[in-house]
Amino acid sequence: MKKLFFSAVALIAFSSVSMANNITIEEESISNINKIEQKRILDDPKTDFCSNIAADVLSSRDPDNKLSSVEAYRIYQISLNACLNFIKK
Amino acid sequence: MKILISVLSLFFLTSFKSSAQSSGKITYEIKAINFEPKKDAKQNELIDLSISTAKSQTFTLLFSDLKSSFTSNSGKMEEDMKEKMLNQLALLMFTCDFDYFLDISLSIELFKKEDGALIKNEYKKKEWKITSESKKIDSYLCYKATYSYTYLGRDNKTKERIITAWFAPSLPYSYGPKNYNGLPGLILELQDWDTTFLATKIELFDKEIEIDLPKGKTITQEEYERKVLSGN
Repeated sequence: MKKLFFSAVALIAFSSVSMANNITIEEESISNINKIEQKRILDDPKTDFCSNIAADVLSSRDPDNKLSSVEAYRIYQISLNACLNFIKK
Repeated sequence: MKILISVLSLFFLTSFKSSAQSSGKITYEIKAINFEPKKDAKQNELIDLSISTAKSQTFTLLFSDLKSSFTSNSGKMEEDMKEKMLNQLALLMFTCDFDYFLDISLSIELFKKEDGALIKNEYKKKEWKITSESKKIDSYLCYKATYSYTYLGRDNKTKERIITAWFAPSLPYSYGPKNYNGLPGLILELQDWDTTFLATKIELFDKEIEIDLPKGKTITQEEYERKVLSGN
């Protein structure tokens, strides 16, 4: 009886650990996929190209630094998106 | 005596009729954008496209009793993503990147940004400097007023921005383009940095018009700035 009891406890413990590991593995997979995707975007030469374009748009519009940081950042973001979506290198 | 009574009656009737016009709809167009990129500046094509897009944008000011709204009329006609982005860039760089809502009775103003954020502020009347300089806009005699404020530029230095407004006392409505209001007359022309807004159509109504404030989660200006600069 005692053996059976301890076996059941061991079995439950083992299952729990396995399940926990599975969850961790799944989360890790998702995290890895995100990292891979981010790396793909950052390593994409077009991102570098478009970052430069976005920076140029900003400095063309505001050579005297009259914009606030928030305004400047939004212009940069939208210019970057516009380039990534529409400009062919 | 009969003539005097008639004249007085006409005067009071006119006054009553004027004060009964408590709401209105004003269309603003872009009169001018005084900006030219430097010759050696890069990406002039995109800037030029943004300028021409901005020049075609129009805005609507609605006011009724103690509420008003100022909204962009673009964004309703865009058909494709490219047009949408160009319009967004034009609003951000040259015209107005928010829809503005004011409720004087609640002392609140709301800014609905082009990225969907809804910023809520306590309404505080602006301190305008009214001058004696005047000019006619359409058939309305307008006076010049200026308002200035300081802010931190993107180079971390304090900057000053001066707003110039031409308001018509004969149109006794304290509203205007963007979030500029509080003058003793409707603002018919407003210059903000490089861009000049001009009222091109004025419609006044006897009945009150419904102005709905946007609903949804609101954030403070500080929270918005933090959110944008963190890249979220």
